Amino acid sequence: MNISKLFQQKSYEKVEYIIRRHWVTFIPIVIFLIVLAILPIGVYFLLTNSLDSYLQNQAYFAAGVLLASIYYLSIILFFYTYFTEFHLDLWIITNDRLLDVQQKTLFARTISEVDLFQVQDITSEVHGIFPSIFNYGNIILQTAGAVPKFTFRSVANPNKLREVILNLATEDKKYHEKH
Amino acid sequence: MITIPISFFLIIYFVILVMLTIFFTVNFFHIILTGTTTFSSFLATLFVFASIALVLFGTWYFLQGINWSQTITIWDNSWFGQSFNTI
Repeated sequence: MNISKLFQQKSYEKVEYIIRRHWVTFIPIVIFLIVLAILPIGVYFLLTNSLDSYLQNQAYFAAGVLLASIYYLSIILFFYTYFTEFHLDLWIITNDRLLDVQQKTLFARTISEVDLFQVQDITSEVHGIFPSIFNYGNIILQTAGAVPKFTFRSVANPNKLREVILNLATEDKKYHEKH
Repeated sequence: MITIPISFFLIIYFVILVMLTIFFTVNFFHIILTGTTTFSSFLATLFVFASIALVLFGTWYFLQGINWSQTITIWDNSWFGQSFNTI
């Protein structure tokens, strides 16, 4: 994956991790869309039982087919848009800094970054049944930078990631103290 | 009485289809142009395009044999009884 289009990598900078939200957080919307997709089938059976004469009429049938087509295409578009926003919400950890890329809507993206040596405090939290079972949660970073608080939301292995960021921050602080 | 040919619905359908195509394209190029292509994005895109093909094929299949020149009444005063009759 070539993410250089998202940020300008420095010559000594190496991307350590690219993290996204855990895939389990995508499931509720998939279930919701499956329910929406099943609805027209229910409506069709309702219509065949009670308003069959309308379905026999070519004009109403054609209008119904076109409406159903638009409905299903809209569901697919909604899925793709949600996936794109989910996919483009990512956190990049390099040996020099942390980047928070948030795709808020299709046409709104925010990128925040903080140098690792400015990280002051890291907290990881796992709350709830599904986060505990699938081991995902939030990591909250307190920084001395322009953005005082960074949050990694619903990321996998938050405890291990907390240790990784802590080690990288310690290394970066040592580097900056020397130079 | 106002009647329209049912091909009018087809025109509206194609207009909406164009709008949806624009949004699908925007989504696709968002993933490509940000350089965040992964196996999961490939799978999702494949699923989306396969679903679109399925829906369009289904639409074409069910609309075979439709006579698009026939008309549908969208307004008829007789639906409202005496209300709109002039004295």
